[in-house]
Amino acid sequence: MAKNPTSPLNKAARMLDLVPYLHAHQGIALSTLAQNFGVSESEMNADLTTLWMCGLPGYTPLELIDLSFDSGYVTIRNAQTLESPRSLNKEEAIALLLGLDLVRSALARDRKDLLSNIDILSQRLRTLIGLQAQLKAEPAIDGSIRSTITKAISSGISLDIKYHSLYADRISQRTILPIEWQNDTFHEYVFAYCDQAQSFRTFRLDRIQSAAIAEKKLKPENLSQVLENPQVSYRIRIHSHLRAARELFEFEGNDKELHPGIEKEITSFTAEWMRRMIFSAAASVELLFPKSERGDIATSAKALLALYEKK
Amino acid sequence: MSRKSERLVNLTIALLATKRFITKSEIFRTVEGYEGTPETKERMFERDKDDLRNLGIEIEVGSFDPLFDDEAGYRIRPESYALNLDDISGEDLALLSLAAEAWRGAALDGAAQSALLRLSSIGVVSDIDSLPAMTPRLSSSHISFETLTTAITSRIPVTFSYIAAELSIEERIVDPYGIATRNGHWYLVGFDHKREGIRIFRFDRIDGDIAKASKGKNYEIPKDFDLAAQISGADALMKSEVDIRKGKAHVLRHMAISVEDMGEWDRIRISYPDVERIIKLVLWHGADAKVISDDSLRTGVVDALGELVVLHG
Repeated sequence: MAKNPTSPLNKAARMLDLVPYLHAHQGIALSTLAQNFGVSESEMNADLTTLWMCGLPGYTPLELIDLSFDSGYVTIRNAQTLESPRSLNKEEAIALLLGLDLVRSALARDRKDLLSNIDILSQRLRTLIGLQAQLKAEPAIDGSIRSTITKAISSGISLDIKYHSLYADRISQRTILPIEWQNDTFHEYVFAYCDQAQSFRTFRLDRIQSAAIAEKKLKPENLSQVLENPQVSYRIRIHSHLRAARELFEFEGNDKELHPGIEKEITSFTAEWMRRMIFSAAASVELLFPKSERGDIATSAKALLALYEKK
Repeated sequence: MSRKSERLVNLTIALLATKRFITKSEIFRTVEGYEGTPETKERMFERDKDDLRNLGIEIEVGSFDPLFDDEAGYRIRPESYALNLDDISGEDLALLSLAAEAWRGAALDGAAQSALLRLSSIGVVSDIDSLPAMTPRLSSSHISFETLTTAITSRIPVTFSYIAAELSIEERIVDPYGIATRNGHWYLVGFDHKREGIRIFRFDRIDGDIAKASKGKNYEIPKDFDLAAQISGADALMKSEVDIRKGKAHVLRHMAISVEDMGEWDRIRISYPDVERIIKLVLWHGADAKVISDDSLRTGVVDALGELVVLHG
């Protein structure tokens, strides 16, 4: 929703907001002001010049807004009518409400003081725009972590990560060499070689708290096997639940080409992962190739069935 | 160009400063910027009023003498113009800043930043040090929040194309009750007209954008509607027992209401709204998870395994 900063309406809105802002920040530097309002200094200069000509009907010097912007610093006088900041519109209030709910869910449960402050603030914002509807936000995955890992995978870079292990309830520092993205219906994972474990591990993306390029370059010995014999190709046939399959296997391109019975080529580093994918697709997806894997699926499904039939 | 924005600011000041209603002719006479033929001025004023309303500024229309059929007058009430959130402390402001910051680079970034500018004009200093260090982030989405948020606040039904389970496109008409994020996805929760029930829609499964529905009238959101419960399935009715191998099947373990130690296995109790999802989860964990009860989950898993054998045998 890129807004054109020079459209007359946006300019007017900005000028109305400038007055109370200047009032609360007398003597602010022009450069800071421009930055805070997200416009160029020359645009801000134009705004201030226009604002200088505004005022109460009559427009005598006494009625005009009094601005001084000497040597790059701005002060304002004689603008009582516009001194209070404009109320929030619906979209702005909703942005804050959703943001607050997100902050709420990210806070520790023992910060009861902050939690109750958030509730009070939310209630006031709701009243402000007469909102009865509810809004709920949960932390999403930090986009920068995702792009760092993607870059690391494509160029074989090792990363230092902070990882929250939910079950051990511990945050650990690890150095990993990310190999590939994996996902089930519920979460995204990074399949990587872990220096601390001296072995391959999967890390859930939403539990990785930070990722930065590591000084140590991981070149594990058994990694060469994986990398020399990297992705195995699998051929699948999708029988139904096309949307789920598309989201699970991340098909790109035209969705309209997908139809029941369509065959697709997929790649994965680990047979284990592919097997789990096929199982959790609950027979809406069939593995055609390689034959050995296909046979394994039949065998393990039979073995599992036997467990249920016993008794 | 700057004439128009200047006129809008002057009009706002004039309408805010007046205690009584002022008429159009008074406005044309006294507010700087109204020029041209009477028709031109008239058109300018109508457009200006719309523009100010689009900024969320409420213009009151009234008449100064109720006894006479006078020319209509206009004013802006300072109480409705100004931001009023009662007492805001430095800590409140810090919380709101953090809330706005969560949108950086995402859908409502612009709205959040302009709200923040307004809040920082109240004259309170943000006390960010009183908060724990954290930087929560919201994910972006292709949906225009503007239509959706207006629809929710004005209770207007919306319409959109939804990608159904078999990738067919279905037109939906929905009374929006609320929006939410979970696991990095955005969801719309509302009353689906065709299905006559509350449904959840994932934003990335909406094909194209959301529009206001041309038919359908304003609705009420049920008093007992609970968004959090809808999204998390907290009002789950189905209950099951599943045996999971120790140290395995963490996603299932995470859902457990209770855990009973069975030696090599743990028996967990779970409750959930959607049996399909749990069937997939149990299957995902292969030999590490076994359904003990109830029948619908057990049958679902057994049937899927049977079909897997047939498909791959």
